[in-house]
Amino acid sequence: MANFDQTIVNLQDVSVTFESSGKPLHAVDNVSLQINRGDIYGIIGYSGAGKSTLVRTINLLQKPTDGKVIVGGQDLQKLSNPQLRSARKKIGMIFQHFNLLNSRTVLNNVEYPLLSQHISKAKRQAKAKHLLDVVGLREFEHSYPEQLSGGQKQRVAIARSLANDPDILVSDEATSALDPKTTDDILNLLQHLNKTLGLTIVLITHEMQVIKSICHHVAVMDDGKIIERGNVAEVFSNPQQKLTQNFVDSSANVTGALEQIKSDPSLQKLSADERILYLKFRGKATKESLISDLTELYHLKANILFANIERIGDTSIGYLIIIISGKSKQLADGINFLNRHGVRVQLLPGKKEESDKDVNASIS
Amino acid sequence: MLTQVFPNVAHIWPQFVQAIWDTIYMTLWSSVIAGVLGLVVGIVLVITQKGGIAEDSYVYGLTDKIVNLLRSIPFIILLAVMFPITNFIVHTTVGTTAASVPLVVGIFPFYARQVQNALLEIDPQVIEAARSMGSGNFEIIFRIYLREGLPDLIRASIVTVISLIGLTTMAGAIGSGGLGDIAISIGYARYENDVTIAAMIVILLMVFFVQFVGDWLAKKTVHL
Repeated sequence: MANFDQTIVNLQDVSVTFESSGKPLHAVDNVSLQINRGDIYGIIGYSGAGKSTLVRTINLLQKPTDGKVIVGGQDLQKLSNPQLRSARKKIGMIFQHFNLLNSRTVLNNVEYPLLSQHISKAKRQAKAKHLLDVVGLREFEHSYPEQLSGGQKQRVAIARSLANDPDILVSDEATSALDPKTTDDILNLLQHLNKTLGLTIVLITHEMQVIKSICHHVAVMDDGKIIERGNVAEVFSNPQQKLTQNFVDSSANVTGALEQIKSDPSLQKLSADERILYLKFRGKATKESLISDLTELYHLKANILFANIERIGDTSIGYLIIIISGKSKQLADGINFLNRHGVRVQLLPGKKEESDKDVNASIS
Repeated sequence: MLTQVFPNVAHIWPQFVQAIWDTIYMTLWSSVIAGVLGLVVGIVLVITQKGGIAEDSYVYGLTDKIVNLLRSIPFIILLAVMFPITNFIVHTTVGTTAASVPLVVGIFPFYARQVQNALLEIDPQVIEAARSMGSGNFEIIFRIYLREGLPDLIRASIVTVISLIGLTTMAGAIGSGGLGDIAISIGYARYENDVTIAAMIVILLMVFFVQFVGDWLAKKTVHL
């Protein structure tokens, strides 16, 4: 566990259980999560995985059935109501549907969190105007939310969430209702806030793109549990769980390519000296000329069916689907060569009966 | 002209004018008191219901049942039933003040339901956003519910005041005074139909006026 000063969010064995028609539903099942100050921590999972419930425990919008919620060193569950409300002011939150107040102007929306503070109207408005400058919407201060586009509404929501100078920003699917271009703009803004204000960002999403573009750390959630976590590049270059693998594959368009290859009749019947390989390599391996080495050293022929290189953080991850052909011994040696160089090799089913035992022997 | 088309109205003119004022008086007072009561009860229903900001199944259940009960009593019977209570509160059982008591009891549960429905229109996620910003229950009631729900609250109020104008005429049956009283005790009882029609026209004008002002206010509060 990270030391006290570094860890800003510390969830310890948190569980949230709902009663649904008499049966207990474990929305969050005994999750511990430590997030460091200044981090951008992504939580990814499909809907119903419990990620939204989990992040709502961070400001106690959702009271955990069990476990401890420690934020900024404070045990939130031990606070009185007024203390909890003060603590919440230091945890900004933005939402998928923005949740702006339609009866108030953009400026008044940003001012809203400051209404309960004892500061003058002039100061309040000056602060709100400054925040609108930060998100680039100053000229819309007198507009009403209904007059803005989705991306603009989210910017207003971000400005509003910053009004009380929070230490943490919780983003609940904040880009899920936006188009890809606007998503990028909002993510860039969040990244900018993280760098300039040192704002710790906890975001939940079901989109890999979001995690890849700005997160430093990631946790993969399924069925109320965190099934995998760590540095984004590490988790996604070497996924241990099937779900994580799914997210990575679909993000790199590998899923589509695999489907296509599997359903391509010309690739169904491979001769005994052909193999379809799905190769994944990261970091250093992407820079080496492994494929040409493979063909030269082992006298194999390689035909590329699909290739893609993804950048996650500052690591490159390559995906390659190739057909290699050559003698049985050379095929095995070639696969061993790839394995030795840190490439993960997966044999795709072609002409099953022969290929299976061959490669099982060679991969192990 | 008045003497030709409405001869009997002209005959009782001072009384007719008084009746108009009586109706306005009853409507205004009952609106104000029932408005406050209904608003409070409506808010209580919204915040104590399941998932509300001050969830309390006991308070909700009780309030809900009282509102349903009062709404189930036909107004004409409520007038009679309320006699002793009216006497206790305002020390009289006739006239506009006495009529205001059953009017309030008759209309506030209706308004409470309207308020409840209006406030439930507000996206619960907006309430959650306010909670995430550290707003307490009172701030959420005054700065979110009453503010975001204002256009719907105004529309609910129009419907309620119009219903109330209708109820004031029924109170005429127990000698409340007002246009309903005149329409029944003079127009109907003495076969002076012009009095009934004149009373009806004035009431229609009142309803149109309320509707007009209400629509104008509601429009001003919607920002699109």
